Amino acid sequence: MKNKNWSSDTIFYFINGTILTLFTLICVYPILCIISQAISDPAQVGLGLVSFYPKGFSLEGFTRVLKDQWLINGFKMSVLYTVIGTLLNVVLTYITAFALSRKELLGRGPIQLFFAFTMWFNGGLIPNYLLMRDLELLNTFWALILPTAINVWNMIVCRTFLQNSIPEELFDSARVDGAGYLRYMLEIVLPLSKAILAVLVLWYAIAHWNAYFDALVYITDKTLKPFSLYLREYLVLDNAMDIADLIGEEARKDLQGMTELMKNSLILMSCLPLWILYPFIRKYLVQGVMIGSVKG
Amino acid sequence: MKKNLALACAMSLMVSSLAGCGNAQESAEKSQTAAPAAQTTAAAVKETNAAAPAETEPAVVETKQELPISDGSLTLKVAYPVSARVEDINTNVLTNYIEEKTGINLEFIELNSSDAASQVNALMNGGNLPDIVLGYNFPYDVLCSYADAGLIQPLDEWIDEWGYNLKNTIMQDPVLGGESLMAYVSYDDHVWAMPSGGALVTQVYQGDLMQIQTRYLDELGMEKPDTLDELRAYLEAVKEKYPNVIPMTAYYDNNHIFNNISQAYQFTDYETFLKANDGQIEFIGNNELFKEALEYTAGMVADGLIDPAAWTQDMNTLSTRAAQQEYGLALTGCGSKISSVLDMAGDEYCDLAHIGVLEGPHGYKAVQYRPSVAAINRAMVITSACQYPEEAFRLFDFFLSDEFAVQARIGTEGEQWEVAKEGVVARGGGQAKYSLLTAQEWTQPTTNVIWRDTSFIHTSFMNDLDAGVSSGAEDDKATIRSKRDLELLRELETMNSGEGVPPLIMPVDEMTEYNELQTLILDNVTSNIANFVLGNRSLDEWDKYCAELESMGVERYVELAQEAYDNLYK
Repeated sequence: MKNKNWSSDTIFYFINGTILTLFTLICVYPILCIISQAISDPAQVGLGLVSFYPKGFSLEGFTRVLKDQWLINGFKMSVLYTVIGTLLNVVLTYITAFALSRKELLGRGPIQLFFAFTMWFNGGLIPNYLLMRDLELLNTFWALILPTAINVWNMIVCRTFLQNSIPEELFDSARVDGAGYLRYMLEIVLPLSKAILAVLVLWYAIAHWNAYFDALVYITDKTLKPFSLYLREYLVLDNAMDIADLIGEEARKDLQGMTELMKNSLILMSCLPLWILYPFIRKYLVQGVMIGSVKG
Repeated sequence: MKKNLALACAMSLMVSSLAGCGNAQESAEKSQTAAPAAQTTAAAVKETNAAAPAETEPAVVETKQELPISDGSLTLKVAYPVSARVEDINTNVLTNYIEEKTGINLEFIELNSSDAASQVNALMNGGNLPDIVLGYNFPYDVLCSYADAGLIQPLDEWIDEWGYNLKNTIMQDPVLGGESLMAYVSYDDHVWAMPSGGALVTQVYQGDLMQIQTRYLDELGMEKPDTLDELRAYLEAVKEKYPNVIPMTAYYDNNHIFNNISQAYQFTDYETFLKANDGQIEFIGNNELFKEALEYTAGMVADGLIDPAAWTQDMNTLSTRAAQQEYGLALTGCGSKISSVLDMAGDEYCDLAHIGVLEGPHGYKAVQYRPSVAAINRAMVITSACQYPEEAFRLFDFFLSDEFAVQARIGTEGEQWEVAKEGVVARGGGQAKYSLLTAQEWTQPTTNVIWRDTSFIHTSFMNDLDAGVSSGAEDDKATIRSKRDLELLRELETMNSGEGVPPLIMPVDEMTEYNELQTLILDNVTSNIANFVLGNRSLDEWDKYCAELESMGVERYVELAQEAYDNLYK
């Protein structure tokens, strides 16, 4: 009997392992292709001969991309937007969620409705633009930080976590010991909220790092443009070329290869910060991402 | 109560998501929506045009153009989508050239070239107007809406005085339709944008032609095919002698195999499936000749003479297949895009030759002339915030000159190009005006010499560029190929049947309807071509297919096209 159980477990783990390995391969394959196409010989890439294994070796894609001083500036700006933006987001989201998680909060229902309202209705592009103009936020660093300082969805997830995971008895005992709301939040609830904080940091950081449309509309000053704008510009670089200009030009094939090389180098660069961030918060994520699934 | 609240929430959610859809649709602006041709404006232009000298004479240019336009004290705020390949627009050689030549300083609002539409929309509607918008090709309906909103200025009053290059270069350009050109930038009896455009004549006549591997022709002792049946005979001979060679092929998003075969039966414009027969617009996708062409093509696929993968593979797959074997393609049907598939320095590419116009079984023979290749752009607009519209107009007119075009497209004289020597052949045939000194700036991954822009420059001057056939060695394969192409071009130019329908413009509502019908009908015809040809659908279902098209509104499609065509030409 015991033996039989053991063998069915083995089958289960085997199938499980196989499926997960396949899934991993599916995820890893495109990344490896991009790496190969970022470091191969441009001529080979241009001819479409590079897929999985690199052919030849060249770091010219990276060199070309790194030569663009505006791109580097964009990279720095994106790091700034991400760090400062995420910090502000998490702080604001957390204190709002904490307040709304307290049942004794006066007018809690209407306040929640007020927040939820913004999820259903949006002013649209032009009214938002006019608002930003009147607030004198156009072409400023804060244009990409303040309008999205709180994401209502994230706030609701955080509130639900605080309501469901922190026992009310903790509050009672803290009160008995003489703690006010602030001390209770900072010294008791905060240390217990690492998982939700990790999730918030990851979600907000990704959103800031990928933020594109707001930057496109609100920022025309080159010194403030984030990396995503440049990334998009590079990714849509014309490959097919204007034939009228290039009839009989042998250089065209090289250009095609070099363009691909630059694109792929840039894709790798853009993924790098989040790849670095991810391992640090991974252990919290496993419990954290499930939070939103439990209704409160 | 709760139920009502939930219902209210659900309704509001639905409304807002629908509103979201509306926005998305608005932002995905149609590029060709249009209003009625402003006939009075066109007529006015016609008059002034007749008075203007037909040839560009340097002496006249000086009196008419009057450069510099300003003494250096004028600054214009320019919203311009900058290509990622341009290193720094502010220090760019072309920027300096413009400022030096015109005396106007350019202060850039740098837009993203990939998503300029949203940015222009925000700038214009957000009340943050630049003086001019340059390099963004305004869709016609958007241009009209800005004109209605009073956000842009009409250009009419400056045309007579300062429109020298407008009249002498762009309006004299046959590929741009001559006098009807102004209709594309006019609305409500006013001109709202400076038109630009142009194309290489080889592209207009040869762009989608099939190309044949001359090595096999020579080895088989055959002549270049002149008729459809000779083409078939060539492919049969290749198949018999070289069983491993890929017969006629292409890749799916540039597959002109059927278009070329159909052209031997009747005029085939695969972007509209319309032809103009003595001013009468006809839809060809459901007539008997179309069916015959489908039968012929399907027969060739069934006999293994056409590679079925031509309708399924992408460019990279074809490129890889071609690179894996030397001389692997017997006949290519992806037009000039074959240069993206094969190594252009390689023998296989150089030994390919365009097939001329093929004669069909009914004796029809005409070139697939494509005026739409030379799109007319609306990429120069003056906003209502501009205090110096006259100077801005003169700047636009300067942008249409050949002198500016060559600087903007190729670079500086003495560095990137020189005046061509006597006897040098141009890309469009005839005597060349410019010879390249270096590899084109366009082929560099990044540049600080040009803006890498084609939207607001009159590009037809590229026809005067050295074709490279005189400088290369006589036995150089690339030279031989280019010479062959030019000879063919001369022949093709004489075979225009005049059945091509130019891009049409019409009132905004009708244009929207026309575009929707066109998308629907074109998708249906294109997918059914593949189905019929590959045998997925039997031609016995032809009547059913025609009924499908009819239910989609082919009649209305033709009616709208006819109306717009009449407005342009009658």
